Amino acid sequence: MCLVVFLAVSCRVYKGDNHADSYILEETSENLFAGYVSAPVIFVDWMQDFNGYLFGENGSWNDIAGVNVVQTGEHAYHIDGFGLVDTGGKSLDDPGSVWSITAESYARWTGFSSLQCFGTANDEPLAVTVTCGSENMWELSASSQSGHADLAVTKHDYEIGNGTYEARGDGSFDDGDYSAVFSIGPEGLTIVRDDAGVMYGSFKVEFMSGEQKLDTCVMSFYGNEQSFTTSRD
Amino acid sequence: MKRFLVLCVALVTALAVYCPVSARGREAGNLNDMRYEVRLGWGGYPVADVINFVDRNCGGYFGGRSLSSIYGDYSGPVYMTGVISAEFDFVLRRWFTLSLGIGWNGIRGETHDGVTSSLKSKDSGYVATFLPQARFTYFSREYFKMYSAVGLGLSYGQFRGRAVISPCFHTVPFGIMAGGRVFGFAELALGMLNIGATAGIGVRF
Repeated sequence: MCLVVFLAVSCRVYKGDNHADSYILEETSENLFAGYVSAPVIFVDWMQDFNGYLFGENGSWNDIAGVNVVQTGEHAYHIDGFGLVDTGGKSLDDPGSVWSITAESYARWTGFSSLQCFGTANDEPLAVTVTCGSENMWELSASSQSGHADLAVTKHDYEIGNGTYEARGDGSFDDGDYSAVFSIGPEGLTIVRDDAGVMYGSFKVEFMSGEQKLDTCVMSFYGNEQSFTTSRD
Repeated sequence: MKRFLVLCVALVTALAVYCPVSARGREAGNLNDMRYEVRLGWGGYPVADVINFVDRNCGGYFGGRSLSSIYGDYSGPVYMTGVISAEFDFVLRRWFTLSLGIGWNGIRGETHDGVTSSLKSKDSGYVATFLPQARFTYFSREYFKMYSAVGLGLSYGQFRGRAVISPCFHTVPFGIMAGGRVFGFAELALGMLNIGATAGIGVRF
């Protein structure tokens, strides 16, 4: 009887640990998308401006307030608030050129089109190798300590700060006993690089334990809006 | 620890055998002449126990969660009874009381499988505290008193495979007791035993 009374006066001091539910699957998928898909594509967009400064006729880079560029090697540059860029001495638009980009760690990516944007949201440095295959087409290889993605990116209707890109590809993230395998939908992903962040397409994540699939999450983009479908809905 | 206990016993004995002349002349049956109290109380938030025994899963990255923390075994809600205390008090002076108390805080929770959310185990534990306190009464009437207290004791607790022994420094910045031979008390506690309002009943004899 005393035990019953004592248990009856118990109060909750901790609500419990976070664990896999639809919200956490959505949040994790968003972070994978931001880190390994949209960030590398946006880097290509930013590098269009830098490419124009280095190899084009419009040298307006240093007009952007608060951004400082320091040359650190023969073809290497450090861009304040972004990271390191090695151009290999070739224009980004030259077929066969290879640019190596390292986004700085412990920085926040805001998704804005200005060059005051930073690296990855997960505090791991993100290295992106951009290889120009043909005009307006690049192969991207993005990797961090725990994740990797291979993307094919095509540029359409490009204007300064308002490009439209189409991306295809897939990747994975490894966290010891668990991993996530992700891919862009078969229709491809269209990213309009304006302030509204318009996108069309889908992005799927499968959460794995070894060979066992635990959960899935599909992000669908409809212009300014997006929706989620998870296995825990 | 042994020396500390011997010192406490010596202090109690010395104060108990020395009675001011004025106290002997009081009217028989006056409540303030009663030398002993027994109290039973409950309340407060056991903040030290929560810190010692509740591990909060804050994750690692991706906005605060790693895949391992998402799919690993996880803790369901954790409940505590709050500190239930029993005291035996020596009223050595009208302004000074030595309290010897034992507190008990019960803990329970559940552990779930991270993938299936099925129940893996029901967990229970406790924290027991021995707490001597010095209570200073700064306002004293026959049926009402106001006081403050300070104490230093020892706690032992165990929960989910973890055992912790720790000192317990505790204060009561403000307390009141009201009643006759049977009285009620309420305190504002601020210390390692608990924080917040506690209340209970007691008997003087």
